[in-house]
Amino acid sequence: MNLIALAFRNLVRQKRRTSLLAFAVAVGFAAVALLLGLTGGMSDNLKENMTRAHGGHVFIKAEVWNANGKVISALTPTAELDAAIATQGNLVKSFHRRSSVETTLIFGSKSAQTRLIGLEWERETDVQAGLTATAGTLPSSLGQGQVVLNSGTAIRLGVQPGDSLLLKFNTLDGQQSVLDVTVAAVAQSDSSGLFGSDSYLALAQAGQMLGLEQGQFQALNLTLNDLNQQTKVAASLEQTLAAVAKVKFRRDTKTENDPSQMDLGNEGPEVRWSGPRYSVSILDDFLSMFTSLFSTIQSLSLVIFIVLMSVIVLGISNTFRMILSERTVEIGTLRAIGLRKKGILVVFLGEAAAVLALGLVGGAVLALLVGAILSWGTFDLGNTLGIFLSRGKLRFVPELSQVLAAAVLIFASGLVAAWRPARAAANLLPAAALRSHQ
Amino acid sequence: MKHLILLWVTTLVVPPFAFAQTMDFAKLLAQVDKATDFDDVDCSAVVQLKKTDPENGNSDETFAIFRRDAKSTFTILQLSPEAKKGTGYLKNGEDLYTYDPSSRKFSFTSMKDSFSGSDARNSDMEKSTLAADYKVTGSTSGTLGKFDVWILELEAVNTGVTYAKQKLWVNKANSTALKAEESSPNGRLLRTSLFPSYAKVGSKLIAIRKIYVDALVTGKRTEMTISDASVKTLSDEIFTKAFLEKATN
Repeated sequence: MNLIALAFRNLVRQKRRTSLLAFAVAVGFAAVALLLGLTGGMSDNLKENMTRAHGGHVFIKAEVWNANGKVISALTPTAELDAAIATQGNLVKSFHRRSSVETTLIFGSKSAQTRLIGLEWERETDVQAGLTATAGTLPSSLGQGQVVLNSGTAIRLGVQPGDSLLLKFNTLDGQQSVLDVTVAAVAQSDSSGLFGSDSYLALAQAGQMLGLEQGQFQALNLTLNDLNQQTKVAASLEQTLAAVAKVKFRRDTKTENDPSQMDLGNEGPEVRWSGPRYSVSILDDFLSMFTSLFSTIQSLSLVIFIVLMSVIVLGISNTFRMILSERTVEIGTLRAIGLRKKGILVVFLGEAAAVLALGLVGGAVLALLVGAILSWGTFDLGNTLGIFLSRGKLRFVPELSQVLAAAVLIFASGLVAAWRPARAAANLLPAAALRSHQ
Repeated sequence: MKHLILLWVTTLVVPPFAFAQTMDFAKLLAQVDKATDFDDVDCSAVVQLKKTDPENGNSDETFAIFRRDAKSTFTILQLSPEAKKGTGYLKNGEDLYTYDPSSRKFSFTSMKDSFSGSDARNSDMEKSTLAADYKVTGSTSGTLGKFDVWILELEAVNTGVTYAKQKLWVNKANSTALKAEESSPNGRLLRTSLFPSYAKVGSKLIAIRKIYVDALVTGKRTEMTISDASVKTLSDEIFTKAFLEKATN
C-alpha cells in the first residue's frame, strides 16, 4: 500500500482544514523569519550609519600638554603613526583625518548648538553618500568659511544655502571666538537622530578654529575591510604605538570613564608626560549603548517565537486528535485489511510533515514578500529611530542559519505534536475501532 | 597767533598723554584685581540671576556663593528654582566640578563655561585675575557717565582665558572696573559686561550689580544682583564635596 499517496489523499480530502493548518504554520514561520530578517537589517543599518557617523571603525587620538599646562586633543602625523598603520597591512581599507568643534550657530536672534565635523570632504565619499541634500546640492569641495549644515539646525535657524551665519566656538584652550561662515548646502543623514546634529566643514578650517598647528588634526579614523577585526586591529595598534610612545590603553579608558570610579578629592595630580599620549577606540565601544536594545529585541523575538510555536504545536495536536476521532473506523478498516501499526504512524506523521513543509515554504515566501514590500517603502521613524534605517528604508537581511534553525525547530515540534495522536491511532485495536462506528 | 594755538593745543592734549605715558597700567590692573579680591577673608553672598533670552525665555535663579580667595576656591549652591535647587559648583584648585542633586554625581567642567546657562561665565564667579592674564596694549582717559575712567585695551598673555581681548573702563577714583567689552582674537565683540554698583564689604568692594550682554544674540542678557554679602569666616567643610551632597539631603 502506498502510504505516502494515502497521506496525500487524506490531506486533499480535507482541503479547507489542511489549508488553514498550513496557513497557520506559514504565518507563524513568516513572523519569525520577518523578525529575524528585519532585526538583522536594522543591525546592519545601525553599523553602517554608525560607521558613517564616526567616520570609520578604529579611531586613533592623541593627547598632549600644551603651553598653558592643559591637556588637549591633537594628533600630529608622525613616522611612528604611519608605521603603526602600515603594520596592519590589508586589514585597513582606508583612513581619514578628522577634527570636531562644538559650536553655537547664530543667525539673527536665533541660535542653535551643533557639532561641526572637520573632514577632508573630497576624500570622504562615504560621508557624502550617506547624506541627502534637502536644500541646495552637496558641493564637490568645501572651501574656507563654508559649511554643510544638518537639516534640523537649518530648519531651527531658518537658513538656506547661501546664507551667512556666525559661529561661536571655543578653542581647545577654551578661549571664545567667532567666525563668519556661509551655508553651502543643507543635508540630512540617517544617523541624524543621534549624531545629527552633525554638520561639516573643511578639516583645515576646523584646525584653525580649535587652535591646532598646521597639519594637526584630532583623530585618525581607520575603515577596515572586515568590521569584525576591530578589536584585533586596536590591540595591535596599541602594542605597536606603546613600543615607541605613551599609550592610554582601551581597558584603562573604560574604567576611567565609568562615573562610579570618579571620586573627587581622592584624585592625585595628573602626571605629565612628554609628546603625544595615544589612545585607540573602536566602533563597538560606541555601539555598546545599543547592546541592551538589541538584547531586548532578541528576548522579544524569543518570546514571540515561543508563543507562535506553542500555537502551532497546539493547533497540530488538536487537529490530529480530531482526525483520529473522525477516522477511527477507517483506521480500523485499514488495520483489518493488513496495514500495520507502523503504517498508520507513517500516514499520520506524513500528513503532519506535509502540512508543516507546506506551511514553512509558504511562510518563507510570505516573509520574503512582506520583507520586500517593507524594504521597498520609505519610513519616517523619527530622529532617534532613524539610525536603524538606510536612507529611510528598512532592510530585510535574514541570517540563513537562524531562519533554518527556526524552520527545523517548528518542523520538529509539529511532528512531536502529531506524534501522540499518531501513536494513539496506530495503537487502536481494529475490532474496537470498527465497533466505535455503532 | 600760531604760537598761541599751539600752546592751547599742547595744554589740552599733552598733559593726559604725558600722564598716560607715565602711568603704570600693569599696576592699575593689579589694583583692579586687588580692589575686589578677598585674599585675607572669606566672603559669602546671595546671588540673583535674571536671564533674558528672546529665544528660550526669561528665568530667575538664586544661588548662595561662598568664596575663599586665599585658596582660589569657591562653592556655589543653587537655592531656586525648585527644579534646580541643590545644584552645586565647587572649585577645587584649578578644577571646577558641578554637582547634580538628582543623580548625586559630580562632573568636571570648565571655568570658561557658561554659568547656569547664562551670559555669565563660571570664571566670573571667582576673583579677578586681570593682571596675570592680560597686558595693556593701549589706554586713554575718558568718562563713563559721571565717572572719570581709564579706558584700557587689554590683550591676553596666554590662550587660557575666555576672551582674547578686552576693553576695560576703570574708575579712576577707586580702581574698580565699570565696564568691559570682551572680544574674540579677531576683535569681534562677544560680550559687554557692566558693573554699575559696588558696595563695601569689610575693607573690600564687591560689585553688587553685574550686567552681561551677549553681543551676538540680540536681546540676550543676564543681570546678576548680589545681596547679603558678608566676610564672616566660613567653615572649611563648605569647600568640600560632602557639603554639596549634604545640602540636598
